[in-house]
Amino acid sequence: MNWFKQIVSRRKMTGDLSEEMQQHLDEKIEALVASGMPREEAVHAARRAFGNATLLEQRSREVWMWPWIESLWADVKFALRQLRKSPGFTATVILTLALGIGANTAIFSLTYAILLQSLPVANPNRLVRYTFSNGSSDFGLSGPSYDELRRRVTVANLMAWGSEVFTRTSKGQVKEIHGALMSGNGFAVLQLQPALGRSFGEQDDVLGGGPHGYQALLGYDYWKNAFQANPNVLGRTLTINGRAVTVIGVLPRQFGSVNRGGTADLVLPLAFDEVLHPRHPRRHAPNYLWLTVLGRLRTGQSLQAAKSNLAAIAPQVRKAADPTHIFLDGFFKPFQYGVVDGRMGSSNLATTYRQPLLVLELLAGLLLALCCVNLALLLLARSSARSHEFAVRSALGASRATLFGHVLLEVLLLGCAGMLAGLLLGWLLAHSLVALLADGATAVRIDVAPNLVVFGCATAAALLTALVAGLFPAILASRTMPAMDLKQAQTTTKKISGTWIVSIQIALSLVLTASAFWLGSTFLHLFLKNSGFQPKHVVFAEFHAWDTKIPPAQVAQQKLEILARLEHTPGIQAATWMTVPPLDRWWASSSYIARDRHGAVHLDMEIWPEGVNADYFAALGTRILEGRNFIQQDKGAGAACILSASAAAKFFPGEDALGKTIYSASGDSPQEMAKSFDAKNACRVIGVAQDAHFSSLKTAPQRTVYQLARPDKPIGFGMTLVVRAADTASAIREIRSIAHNVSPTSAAPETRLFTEMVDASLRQERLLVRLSLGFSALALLLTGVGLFGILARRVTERTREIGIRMAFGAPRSAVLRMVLFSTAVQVCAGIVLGMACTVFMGRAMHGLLYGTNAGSLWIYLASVAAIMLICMLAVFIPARRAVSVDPMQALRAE
Amino acid sequence: MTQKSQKSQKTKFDPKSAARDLFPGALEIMVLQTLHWRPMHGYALVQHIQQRSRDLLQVEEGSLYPALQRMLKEGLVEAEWTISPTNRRVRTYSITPAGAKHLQREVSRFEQMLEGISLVLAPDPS
Repeated sequence: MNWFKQIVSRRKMTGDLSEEMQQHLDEKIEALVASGMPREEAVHAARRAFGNATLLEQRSREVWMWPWIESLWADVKFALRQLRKSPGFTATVILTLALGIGANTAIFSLTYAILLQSLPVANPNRLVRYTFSNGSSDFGLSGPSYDELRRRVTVANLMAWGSEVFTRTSKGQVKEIHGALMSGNGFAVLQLQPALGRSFGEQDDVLGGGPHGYQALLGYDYWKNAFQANPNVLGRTLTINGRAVTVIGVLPRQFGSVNRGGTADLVLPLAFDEVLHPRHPRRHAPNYLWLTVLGRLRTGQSLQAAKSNLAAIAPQVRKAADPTHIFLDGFFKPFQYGVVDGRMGSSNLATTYRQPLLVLELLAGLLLALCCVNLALLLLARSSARSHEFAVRSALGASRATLFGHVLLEVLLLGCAGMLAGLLLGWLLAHSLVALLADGATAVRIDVAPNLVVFGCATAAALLTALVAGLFPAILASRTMPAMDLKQAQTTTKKISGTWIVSIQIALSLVLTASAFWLGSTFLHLFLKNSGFQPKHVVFAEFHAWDTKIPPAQVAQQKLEILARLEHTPGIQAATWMTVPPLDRWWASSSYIARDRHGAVHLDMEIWPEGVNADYFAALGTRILEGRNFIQQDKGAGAACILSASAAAKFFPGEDALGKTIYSASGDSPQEMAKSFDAKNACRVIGVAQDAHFSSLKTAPQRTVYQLARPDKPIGFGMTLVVRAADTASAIREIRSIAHNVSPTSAAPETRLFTEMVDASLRQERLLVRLSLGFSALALLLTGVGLFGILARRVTERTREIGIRMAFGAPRSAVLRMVLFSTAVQVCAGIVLGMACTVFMGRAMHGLLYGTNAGSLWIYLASVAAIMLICMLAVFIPARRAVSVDPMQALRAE
Repeated sequence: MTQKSQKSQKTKFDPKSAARDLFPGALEIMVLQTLHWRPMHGYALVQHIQQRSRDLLQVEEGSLYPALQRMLKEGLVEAEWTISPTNRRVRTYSITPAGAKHLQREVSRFEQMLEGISLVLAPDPS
């Protein structure tokens, strides 16, 4: 227990030490005096011979301490005391850091969750994903492709996952459930353990689901919300799409779906497809691309091996997966099989948000750099304000290392506080960002809960920022020259260090501001663009889950019935069914062919086909430019169609399309399609409508062929009902009640306002605009405050000089000029530097800009103007204070 | 005094400061050896070392104290407050058996080192 004794007796020992050293000095002085030296001289001589008493005493004490922990603790206490003495400074620094760290934490949480986080399964790094894609088009694999791949791939075990919408009937009510079908081996391949109960296996993935019928697992959240996390749910029977299925387990909490951002509330074996799509099973359709296929590499195999394995078998798979050769060798010819790293599953979110997130990371990084610069400025100011204190401490025996250490420690403590505040802020911000992402129709499940990686990065960023900002001020503090600094006191003018920092601030905020202006102008351009629709007062109702037991002819009948009832409902201005809803990530294309008046044949394989009712144009607000709308008579006699302006121009360049005929084309090749001029494919053009953006506001409008929807025609009824009504809320109620009356066994439709859909299609841009504007505003504020701080200090320190100048007759304008132009060089240098960086930033953002480009001059001008305005504001107050200096007062104060 | 002249003074060769630069542990051996002879307090220790070395070794007086504290902690010396012949309350240090053993070991190591150095410094026999 030696150390214990040491602690107890330590206080006494250190007390003894001071006394002992004092005695030593006294004895020496006495001895010197006795040898004939005058007392005063003797005191100095004794001190000189003894050395730096404070430092030596400190070293002697350190012998007894656990070397650094205790001295660190003492230093921490000292630093905290120092910080408490200047609460304003402390709060400003913490707030600045918190903003920088918060913004970065939020963006990084999102980036991590969307781009970096692995699937929550065992050993995700052994997973690979098989794709069937053409550039960025990657819809998934068809059932037969999966079967063939699974049979032929030798290096990995494959499983498949397909998202589906089910209906659940419970107590007479029909509700939608978003879930998935998974191959029987899915749990084994993913090594996924249910949170409760057991999983299904290969033997359960058969038609009928085996001896006990189909067996299902519930999603964790669904189990918690719909079943109050009741463990007795196991063994219960649910009615899913009219079929009884048994609940055998609950998925783990973290597991949402193999598709990033997706949620599966219910998972059933792939074979359940026979129940979902009894007439057109997807499971064996060669042309339905819907499966996410993941494989787990066998021991000793690598992604490289999987790639070469796939290259060898791909041609056979393609042949075997589509014996008709119509789809995989025809329509999907440009699509190729591929295999990629599968640790993150598949992710549309990652594809959509990769570039925006990287740009946001860049912007947030710049903001953090700006915070760091501002921090350096604040710390420098504090260091120079404390130079007197440092000089005194140095004179009293503090070593340079001690001063350096103390300043750095203060900064690090501030860094820690800033980091904690930043983490909190970042967490809040990340949650609101997820809400921004999720304002569409589909729920987005992104886990931004704080985790070790995010925490680690935030910590590293905060400490690094604090260190970088604090290093120079700490060095400055340690270089104190007691003899000089003490003599100078605080009256004479010193050179203010750090004015060059203003240039960096201005450059950084210029880049951030220009980025915000670019993204803002892109958003405005898209927002104000004529979409070809009039989205106000329009409701979309999507019938995802019509009762599958009703035969198609009766479904068509029911849909007509709903339309007829709506037309007689007061308040409803127009109602129509349509096949493919606009601005909703859908893609549709079909081929048409026509002969113009010179006999030239025009084939278009990218026509957007819409099957509509007569009220379509009134409901969606698309104007008919020429000809007429559909009328009742068009229903019976031959096919009539309306072309969009761009389609008319494509088929009949330079002539009037009205009254001409187009033909729907089919065949494996353009040569074969060219033979489609047949009366049974014919379609008479009765009108030309304005162009409309079905796919996206960012791409060119689709060339569209509108036809009246008829159950017996290729373009049949869609599942989307569109209604125009002044009062959308009551229209939604009407739609729901009419739909329930007409088809009580089908699930209620999902309703959305068209304006919401337009907003949702601009989600990515909106996110970017909000964040970049926020960043830029913050940057300008920080720059303004920084500039203001420097000038205010300068004016204070030069008050006497200004007083003298004015006393000698300098006019106020000259003083004003002096203040205004004192930082002009730095400001100009900052703008030039910022311009250079902005050019690079423009290149990085190139892919996100629309209707504006990296070269547009006005963006640069506007950004510079914004910076200049902020600088003016920041300079104004110090300048006014300078010109209002009263010479008499300034001189008397000396 | 300006900054420049301060710096130049520092870099100038100073024979005194060179004399002070002892090798690590040297001060400890000398202190232990002195205490082995008889117990003493700090000031007396410094005086003794300087006189015995005929002022060739100018120890910075204060640097004695960290060294004494180190030896106290390691149990090589003991200390107690006494009254000096000049009627001062002083802290007198005396060597412990462990200190004596340590001294012996260090002295023989030092002698070995010294022998080695002098062999190297000796004029070449050839």
